[in-house]
Amino acid sequence: MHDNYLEKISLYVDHQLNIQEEKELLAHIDTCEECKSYLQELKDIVLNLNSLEEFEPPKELHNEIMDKINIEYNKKNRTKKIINLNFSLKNVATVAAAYLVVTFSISALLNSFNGTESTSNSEMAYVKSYGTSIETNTMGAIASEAEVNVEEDTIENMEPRLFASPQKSMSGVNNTRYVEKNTYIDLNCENVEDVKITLMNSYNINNLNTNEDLYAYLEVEVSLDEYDGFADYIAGFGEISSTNSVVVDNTNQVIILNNKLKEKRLQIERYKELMKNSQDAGELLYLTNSISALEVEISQLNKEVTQLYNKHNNPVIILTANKTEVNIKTDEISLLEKIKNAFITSLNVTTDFFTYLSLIVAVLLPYLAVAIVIIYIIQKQRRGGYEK
Amino acid sequence: MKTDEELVKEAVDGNNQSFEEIVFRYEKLIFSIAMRMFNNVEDAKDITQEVFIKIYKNMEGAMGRGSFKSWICTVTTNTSIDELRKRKRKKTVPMEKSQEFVDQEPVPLEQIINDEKKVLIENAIDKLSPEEKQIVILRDVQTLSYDEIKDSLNLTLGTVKSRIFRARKKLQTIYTELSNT
Repeated sequence: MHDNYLEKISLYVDHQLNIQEEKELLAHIDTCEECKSYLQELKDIVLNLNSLEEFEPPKELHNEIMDKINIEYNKKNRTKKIINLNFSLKNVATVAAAYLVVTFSISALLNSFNGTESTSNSEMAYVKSYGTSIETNTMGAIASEAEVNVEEDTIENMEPRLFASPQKSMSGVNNTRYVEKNTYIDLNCENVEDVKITLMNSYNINNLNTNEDLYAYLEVEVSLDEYDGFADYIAGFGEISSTNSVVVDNTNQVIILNNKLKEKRLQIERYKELMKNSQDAGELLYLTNSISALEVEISQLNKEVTQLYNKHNNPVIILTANKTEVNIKTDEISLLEKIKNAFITSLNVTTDFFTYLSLIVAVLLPYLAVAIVIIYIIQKQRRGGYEK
Repeated sequence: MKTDEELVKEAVDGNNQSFEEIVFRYEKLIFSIAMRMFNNVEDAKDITQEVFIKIYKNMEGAMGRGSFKSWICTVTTNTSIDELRKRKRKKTVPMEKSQEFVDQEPVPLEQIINDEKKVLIENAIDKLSPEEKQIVILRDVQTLSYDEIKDSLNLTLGTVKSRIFRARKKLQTIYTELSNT
């Protein structure tokens, strides 16, 4: 019975009783010396407990705590990295395995229909397009054709051999040539301004220089598909007085850019490898920043390569529109014919490039897929116990 | 100054400086609770480190849980109880406070009495069971509310009330005994 009051005294000290309970308790305390004394002692103890001071921790404790936290931090990050790697590798390996199954199934099916020897689809397409006319050059990456002085060539005497089809040398280096071709056309017309304005409204003009109304240089980039149409189009503005063509071989430039790209990608791989083994926050930050900088450089290089490819795929026609009257030879072959002759080789190079690219992809992809699956299995065996 | 919640959020996002700020804020509190649970500096240091590692690993769980301080207090007392259950309690050494008190300059009589009372209280706490220490520390030393204790220890309000009562009653008995010796 008395314990009941003592518990209520404890609640009373903490203001946990309602008014009615409080009144009853205080009425009891007035008549009970034991409870009165207990209340006083409890208040005193609670007051002292409330005002107990905190203990000053030893000075070294803070650093000891942070050392342990840093160990935990590194552990956490390392585990996260490995798990991420395994996750991504797992996904890639799954896709690769699925690709292998589908590829080999289709290949087996096609072979059973055709009864031919195993040849990849891309390779067949390549042979079909070029038949026996493919020239071979097994001497290395830079073919001897590069030595030809292309500036002296005209539309009439350009030969397809100048723009060799992609070859595979003995060392396995792709020998594709990247040729940028500019055709200069002089056009005598009644009104330069009309030509200029019409072209600006119809084609993308890269450069435009005018000298009052006497003449205008217009650099027009057209795709091979619309080339015939363009030839017809400009013929309507006046008479063609002369044509010339300049071929620029960008192969070396492309090779240099691709080598730079390869080097930077390798550098990124090396940095990523270092990151896996590094536990130093400063070093990790430096590596992350370096990778970001390299990625920016790669993006820039890719842009340059794309620009070169575009030049290679889309011929530039520099049109000089003249007001000056000149005698025009009527026995010249038509502009359309000249243009066709001039760009037929470019067409070959372009088609060759993509065909060869698809051939490489088709040949290498299965090997790549097998390699990914093997790497995944090795990784899994090596780190099998870690994730658990 | 950043709030606890802001610091916790930043630490969860991987900012170690924010976590260090949390350590600066709470190392004294955790060490003090551990000292009262163990009455031993080395044990209190070990528990403080263990508690901070637990906090570091479970910070995400602390977010949106209510008072960060009450969570820390509960983690500390629970960790201490687990440790005490695991091993035999080490022989206590006299607390630094008692020693400091002896070496101090003469002070007014009233303060001496107050300090003597506190030494007695500390010694009385030390004689409680781990569970009783926990409830006294949470309620009367760290002044957590009944609701906070109820939520932290996952108890009913009635259980919290009766535990506080029993722990206080025992503490009072021990305190009276110590005062009379």
